[in-house]
Amino acid sequence: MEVFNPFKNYHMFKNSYYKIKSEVGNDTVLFYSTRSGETMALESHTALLYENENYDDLPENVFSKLLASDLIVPKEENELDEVILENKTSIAESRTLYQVIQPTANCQLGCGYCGQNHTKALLNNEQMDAIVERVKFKLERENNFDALEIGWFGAEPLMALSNIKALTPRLKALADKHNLRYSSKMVTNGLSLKLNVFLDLVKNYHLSFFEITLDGTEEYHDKRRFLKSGEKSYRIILDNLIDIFNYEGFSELNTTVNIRCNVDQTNHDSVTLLIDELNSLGIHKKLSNFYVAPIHSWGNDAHLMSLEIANFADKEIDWVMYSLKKEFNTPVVPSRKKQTCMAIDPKAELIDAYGNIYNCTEISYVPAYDESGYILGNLNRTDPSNLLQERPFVDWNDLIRENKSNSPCHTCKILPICGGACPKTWKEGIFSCPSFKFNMEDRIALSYIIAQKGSEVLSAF
Amino acid sequence: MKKFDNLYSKLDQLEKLNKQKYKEQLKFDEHVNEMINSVCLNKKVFLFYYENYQKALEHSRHGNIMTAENLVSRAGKYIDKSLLSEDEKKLYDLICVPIDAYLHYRKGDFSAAFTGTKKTMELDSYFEKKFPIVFFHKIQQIHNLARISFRSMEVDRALIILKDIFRLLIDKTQITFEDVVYDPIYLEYNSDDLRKSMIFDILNDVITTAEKHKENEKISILDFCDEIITHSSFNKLETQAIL
Repeated sequence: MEVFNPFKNYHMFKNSYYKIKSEVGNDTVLFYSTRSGETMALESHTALLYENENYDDLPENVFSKLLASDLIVPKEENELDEVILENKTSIAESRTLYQVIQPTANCQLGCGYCGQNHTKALLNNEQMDAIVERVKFKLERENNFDALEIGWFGAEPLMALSNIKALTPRLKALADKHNLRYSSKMVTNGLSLKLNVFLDLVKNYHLSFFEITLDGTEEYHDKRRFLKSGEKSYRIILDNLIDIFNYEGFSELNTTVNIRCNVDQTNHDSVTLLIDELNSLGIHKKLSNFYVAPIHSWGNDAHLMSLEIANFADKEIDWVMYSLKKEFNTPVVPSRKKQTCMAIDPKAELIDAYGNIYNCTEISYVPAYDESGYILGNLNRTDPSNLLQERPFVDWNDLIRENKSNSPCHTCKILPICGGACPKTWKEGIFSCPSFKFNMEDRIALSYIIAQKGSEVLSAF
Repeated sequence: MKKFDNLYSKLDQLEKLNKQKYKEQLKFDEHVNEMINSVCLNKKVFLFYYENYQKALEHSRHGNIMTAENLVSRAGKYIDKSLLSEDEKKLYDLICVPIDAYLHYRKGDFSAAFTGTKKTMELDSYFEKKFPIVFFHKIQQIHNLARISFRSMEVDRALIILKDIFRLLIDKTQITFEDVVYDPIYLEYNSDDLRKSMIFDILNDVITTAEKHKENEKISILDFCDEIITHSSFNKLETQAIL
């Protein structure tokens, strides 16, 4: 067989822009590709060859792995275009119809940072019929869905439990009719999530994911998340969680329960205390995820009380390490994110208790957005066949590519694992980068060390 | 169906004996490496091409056809194939043609899938002389033709093809599909475990396929399988440990 080298002296490759370097000890250098979400550990002399793009001297298997991890890419490739193409393709190929329903505008709590205006509004029968008709139309119009996912959000969704119970069998029947997987999740304050309610929702209403918020330990939480009547909420929520996690058949339920801890300048000291408390109660091992989130603007000035982001990131890495040390299931390194939020999925919608239709979870019930034009339509006036395709932010990926997103995403190395954070917040001129942007090097090193030596290694810290 | 109790029980028995699936044994990647070393002077460029096609295959298996097509486009975008030698071109084609054919199959274009698979068989015929392991890749292609025939509801045609595959694998008889020759000598150049394991895997695949067909077609497919397992050569094979 004859062979000749058409590429002799031709260097086709370059190092990817989308990489983060982290060093462990004196001899190991880690390179994390935000394009693939994969990490390569190289000895320092090999790392130097890679950094200098001296590919001919790299061992073949190393070159091959760097190529497979997108740490080495074609020289002529416009990587931003590739990332954007992957994001847009992922959205176009999504076979899940995501529908968020806020069955009530009511909530027991009066949290200081909440931007919503709570009322006793509930979805009525006509509105519930219209929701079912709307979902039915979408499923019938496109026959390539393989899943229907419902998100029950608030205000507080459990204040409209009867609506959830009335709608679920109808939505599930639609999924069954079209041979789709059905799943649903709920973001709840946890006050009404008694064990019997939880079990009923899981066993009879197909809820498989819950997210509950605790803003630190009792002393801190109750100063922020009190009932509108002024009563405290921490003990009620925690007792509910204890009952749920202590339920003997909990693990067989295959249900995800997460705790989010919202943090600003006034309660950050309580995070480690909360971790200790959850650990001492034995909750940590059954919890799917515990994470800390900075308070953000909710059509208000709540974000002004937040910790400065780099400061938050410093503390966050300590919380991650501390929770791992306390045997929590805390994710360390974020993975590839092709869709930043529901707003950029042209099929996803949120319907609130007034029948208003949105493509964002942060707008409904917030008076600051009443006149903002973010309402796509209303169930009472919108025919189910009207898919409301004129929406804000569906062009988010194009805006990033064209550097018109009012954000630094166009040149950001973490774009592939962030997706651009919150398009609405950027539009409002508010900084929206995720905290992990500022502690990624530590996260990468931590993840590597744990993979090599196990989380026991953290006991030394 | 009671009629096929013997078939299903034999299948269970074979499953217990056949500890390792054919694809787990083949480790085609390792052989591709050998081929690259022999054929390509710029291995790095080929690896890029290969890597993207492998990812495309993985995505197309999950039904992400657009993602797969983007990867296929990325694979070829920076490589001027006109500069390659004839052997290199053939090796690049050996990677892309079967995966392109699979993409056609997933998109329901069975005619293009058939053409691409046939072309892959021709490429395999070229490479099997130097790399006998490629013969098994060639058998995979004829099996793919049977699958395409099943999907396009040409059950009789699929069974004719399968009959040939089993003649080749069980009786070690030479077969010809159109003008492509399958010479059993290449079976001798490879592990016999691979051959036996492939017989079981194909049989298992055909029985699974039968379940997806209407009753009368299902019966004719199962009848065919029953005939295979009751054949004396198959029984002879069965008495030897499969793996």
